[in-house]
Amino acid sequence: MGHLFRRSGDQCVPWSIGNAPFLTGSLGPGQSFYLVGVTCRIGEIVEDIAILDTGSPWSVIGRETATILDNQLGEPTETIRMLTARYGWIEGELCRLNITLIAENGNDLPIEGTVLVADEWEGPTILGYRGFLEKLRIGLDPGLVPGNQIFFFGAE
Amino acid sequence: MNAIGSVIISVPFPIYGRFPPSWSYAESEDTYGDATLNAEFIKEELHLSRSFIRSLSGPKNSYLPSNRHLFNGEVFFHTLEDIRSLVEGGNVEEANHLLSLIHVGISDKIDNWRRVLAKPIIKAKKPATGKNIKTNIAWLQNESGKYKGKWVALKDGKLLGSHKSRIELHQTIIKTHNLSEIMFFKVPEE
Repeated sequence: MGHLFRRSGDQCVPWSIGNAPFLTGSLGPGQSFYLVGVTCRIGEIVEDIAILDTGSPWSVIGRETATILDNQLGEPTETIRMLTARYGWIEGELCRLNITLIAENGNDLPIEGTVLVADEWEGPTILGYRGFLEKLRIGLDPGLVPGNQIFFFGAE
Repeated sequence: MNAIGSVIISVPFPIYGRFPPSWSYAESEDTYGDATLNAEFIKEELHLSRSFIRSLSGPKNSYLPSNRHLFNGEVFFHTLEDIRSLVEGGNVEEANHLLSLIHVGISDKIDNWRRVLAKPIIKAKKPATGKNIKTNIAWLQNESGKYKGKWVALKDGKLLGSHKSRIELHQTIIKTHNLSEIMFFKVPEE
């Protein structure tokens, strides 16, 4: 699978720098319907499938993930509250953190962004809009058949 | 609003040519010999902190570098609360504007808000490291139903381990594997 391109004057220039399959659909009978799960590296070594959620104000990681990351997290702010679709209001601190979108083709894209570290968050890692997606190009190819979904990403 | 507060509030700040004297009082300082009045007076002043900070944002922000005492004590706390409240309300642009009116280096906490509210930084791209993502996803779609509510660790489409606690799973896995090619996922309960 190649890259996406955009027109710039008379030329076509790359719009995306990497792509990878993404998780979508049900995780078996009676399971939640996952919209989009993408592979990323949280901090330097921990790889996750995180939920791509443009409706989430911030990216979210749970306390256990934060404990594993240890000193890779930046200085936390004061506690803030955030409304989530899954758990209602949650509390946490905003921290700076490196997250890398992992490509199967092309290039990985490392980003220094901001995440909410929430003690009570028991769901998967969330990649939200503020402090992360807001500077990225993202595109989803649903594929012709199940299993062929491709997540494209890039940045200026 | 008490009488003293009214007087202070009714005078536009820019005509002072410097901060009103009361802004430099420490919280514990008994300005008027009346603890209640003092507390109320401070509260009135704090109520104005945001608009006051805004009033300093002249063409050259000339007040800011030399007035670090503004961010001592309660005024400092109130400013942090304003920023936190704006962020909770989703108004990050307004919070960033408020931060832009405060000189860098006055407070570590305020500087940290500046850092976390900054736009994400795109770093130099690196060669793709994703391997067998498709097989891991296929495992999740076909097999993860048995592991509801647990973290699972996958490599090359195979389950390496599962545990309710991510930390426990992590500690088990690092004893026998290189973490760089292992993917973790929390299988939802429902």
